[in-house]
Amino acid sequence: MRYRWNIGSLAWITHRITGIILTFYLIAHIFVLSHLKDPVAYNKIMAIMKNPLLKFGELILFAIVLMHVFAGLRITLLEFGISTKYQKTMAYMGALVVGVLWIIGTFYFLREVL
Amino acid sequence: MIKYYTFKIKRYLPNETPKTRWDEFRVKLNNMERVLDGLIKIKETMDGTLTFRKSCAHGVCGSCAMKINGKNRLACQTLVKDLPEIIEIEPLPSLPVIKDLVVDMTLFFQKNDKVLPYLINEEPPPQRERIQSPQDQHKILESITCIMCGSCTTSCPVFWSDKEYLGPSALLKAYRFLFDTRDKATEQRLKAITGQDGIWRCHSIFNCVEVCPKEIDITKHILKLKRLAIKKGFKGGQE
Amino acid sequence: MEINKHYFDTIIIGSGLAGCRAAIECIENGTVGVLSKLYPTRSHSTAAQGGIGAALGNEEEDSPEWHTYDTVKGSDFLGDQDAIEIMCYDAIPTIIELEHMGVPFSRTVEGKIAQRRFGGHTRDFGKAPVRRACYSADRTGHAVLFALYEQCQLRGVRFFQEFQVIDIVIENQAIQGVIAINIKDGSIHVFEAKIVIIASGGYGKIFKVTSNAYASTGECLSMLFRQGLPLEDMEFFQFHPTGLYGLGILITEGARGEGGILINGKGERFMERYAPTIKDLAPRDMVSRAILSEIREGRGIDGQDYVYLDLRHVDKKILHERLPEITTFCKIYMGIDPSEAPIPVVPTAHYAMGGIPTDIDGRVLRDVDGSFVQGLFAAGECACVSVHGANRLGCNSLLDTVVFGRRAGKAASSILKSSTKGKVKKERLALIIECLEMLKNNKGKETVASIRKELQQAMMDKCSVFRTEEELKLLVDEIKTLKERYKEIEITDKSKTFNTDLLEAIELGHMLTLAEVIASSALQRTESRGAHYREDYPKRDDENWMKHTLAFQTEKGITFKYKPVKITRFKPEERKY
Repeated sequence: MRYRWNIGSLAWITHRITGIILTFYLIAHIFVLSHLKDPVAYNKIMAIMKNPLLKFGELILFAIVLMHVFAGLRITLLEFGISTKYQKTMAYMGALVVGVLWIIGTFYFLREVL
Repeated sequence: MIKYYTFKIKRYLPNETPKTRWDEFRVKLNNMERVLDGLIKIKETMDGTLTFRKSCAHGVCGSCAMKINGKNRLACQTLVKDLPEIIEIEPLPSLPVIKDLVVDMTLFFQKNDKVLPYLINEEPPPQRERIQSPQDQHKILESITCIMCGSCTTSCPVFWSDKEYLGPSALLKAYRFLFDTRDKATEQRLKAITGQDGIWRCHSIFNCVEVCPKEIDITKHILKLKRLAIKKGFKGGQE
Repeated sequence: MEINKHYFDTIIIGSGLAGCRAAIECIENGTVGVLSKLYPTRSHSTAAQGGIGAALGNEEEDSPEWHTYDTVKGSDFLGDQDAIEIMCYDAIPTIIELEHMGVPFSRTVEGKIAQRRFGGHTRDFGKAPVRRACYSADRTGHAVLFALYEQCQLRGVRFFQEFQVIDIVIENQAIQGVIAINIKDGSIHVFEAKIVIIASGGYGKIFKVTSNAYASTGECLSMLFRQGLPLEDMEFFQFHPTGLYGLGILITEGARGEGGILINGKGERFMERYAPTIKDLAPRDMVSRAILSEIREGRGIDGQDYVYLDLRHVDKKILHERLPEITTFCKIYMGIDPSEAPIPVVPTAHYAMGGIPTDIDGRVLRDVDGSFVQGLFAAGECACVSVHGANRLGCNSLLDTVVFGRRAGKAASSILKSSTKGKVKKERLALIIECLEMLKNNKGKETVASIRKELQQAMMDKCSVFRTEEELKLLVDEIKTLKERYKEIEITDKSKTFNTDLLEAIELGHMLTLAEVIASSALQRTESRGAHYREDYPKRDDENWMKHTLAFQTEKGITFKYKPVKITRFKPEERKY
């Protein structure tokens, strides 16, 4: 049987995985930016970015950034001396805040797109 | 209330082929009995070769830590009534298995030895006891309850991936002495735990806290160690 | 078979408090090896809860003289008073030394070692309870054991963990060494030594309901007994009044020291009738008898076979700070919170007053004349100095282990230079290996578990708090039958790796031997004293029985010799509290 997860270890693994994804994203992001040399290239790439699939990808990216930020904040607060008694509450609250922010973000995002 | 439970036990018999297998036993137990009672019943009446450690049977010696339904616990402190009817038992993860549920704890104890696990105070002792205020004693109160069962260290994902990591148990031991006002070896001990296998490897995953049978908030203690190390100028990397 | 040979100046069997304390002394003068069936910190000393007695006087006025008197009276005047005096006066420096070694004692407001009340400990020769037990919450044994083990590590004591001793080799009235199995791989190890200190602890597992660990089986005592050495005062076995109902898990006397009271089915505080002065803090033998008398007379809770230990009126903060461990035990095992519900308790087999006879320096005696086995020492629960006599007072056991562990260690070190190295003969080794193989390959229809269960049940029924001649006679016969049946046992596990099946079979053999000694000793002592209560002889008989029993194994079976009790300051008087 696999070792049982708990909210603490889930927060940790989320932080790790989102961190790794963001690293790759940033590399890709910088790579793309480095190719924006002239208006033609700019327009070409922007056209690709209009692809609905990539738009959807941006939503996921937004979620990942939120998760990483809040998981990181939780650890930072713990290390600065916020009592570990609240670690679970912080993880749940973090997840809640991430969810709410994501829904709000999605709302604005979709309004712009549609 | 008496009920039947199915014990699914991961066996490891070094002299048989295949060495590893899963065995199932049906055991009748009442609602006051513990997983350890179930294991003893199996050994006494069904399979005498089933091997596990046991001693005090009430959660103070730390012999019978094992993985029960996906979580490290003491078999003597886990009541069957709190578990589902199917109870899956494996040895503690990530340590070499000797036989069945018995693991080789040598590595675990070696970690402990690295943090200078003894009171060091070379000043000549006074005639009577050394004075320590109750407040100061309370700082180490939680850490001295550790029974060294190994549940925490073997539940730590960092330890799973890197056996060089000191692990929660050894770090807790370091805390016990670093925060004891009578101990004078602060520098030495901080040096021992701030190396590349020490406190900085703890990622506050809280698996150790989740499993500790003595309900010690180990991560809290490690975080305090981190703050102490920074205050004293130990930033890691030193060997 | 490959044999591993080791040499150490001193070998210590057992890594509890007595073993570790002795090791700390011995390592100053030579090499020390400590053999333990378990990992050292798993030794049963770790389960001691309430405290360690010493007249430090940190909380209120106290003196070692009062401590001596209490111990003598607690022992029902069977304790040797010279030894008791040594223990009570040595207690103070010994505890201070422990504190210097790092034991994290609980503290008073001024920062001194905190002390609390305990059963039978009084001020001014019995006037009122006194705070004498030094404690570390309710984990005193744990705190002391870890500190001592850590000091052993610091000083370079070599530990052989998970080594089970299978023979203690004595030849020409001198110790030669010990033979042990490495449990991990089944290999045989011979340890030759100049000195052997036995600190193997108690044997409560002979009884069905006990606070003792599975490892407390007492094989070392039996090994000596089978070689013709005596065992002293084996009839005295203490039942702790407050074990969790149905499990036997210990609820420390400290719970009563902090204000807990015992109540029966009628809601009465019945100890007021049995010990008007110190009530619930009377010595353990009296409280155990009181509880069982209440139950027998139908005043158990709802007519059942238990009474309540009531802690509801004790301040929650005290429960949390000073009794956290038992609070969690109640929550985990009984599902009750002691601050809200009373705890169901019954007496549980707890401590062996008897054991290997030793003098005040831990030397193992060979006979009533005071001759001893060269180089062999014993300390702790396995030994009988005798400081506990017929009944031990609470928090004197930890004290006994450290005081006499230390003394034995010192005495051993002092003779180290003049002692010769032991030699374990090949024939002896061959014999023990043959016995082991025979046991392993024995064919028969009996199992270890069934014999053990019957033994434990029989001892519980016939040889616990109340005893009668009739039942003891039946018991002796029963044990003899069990011994016969033991010859027919067959074990299932034939492997060499971690063969607990085989080890349990060895332990059972020794338990049977000890049980017979206990039952026979109880049968021949026709009086009631301390923990030994004969319903057919309910009075203490100082005229005939103010003496220690020494049981010997001879060809005719178990025979007895007697040793006078050393009385120095306190003349026997009626024991009233």
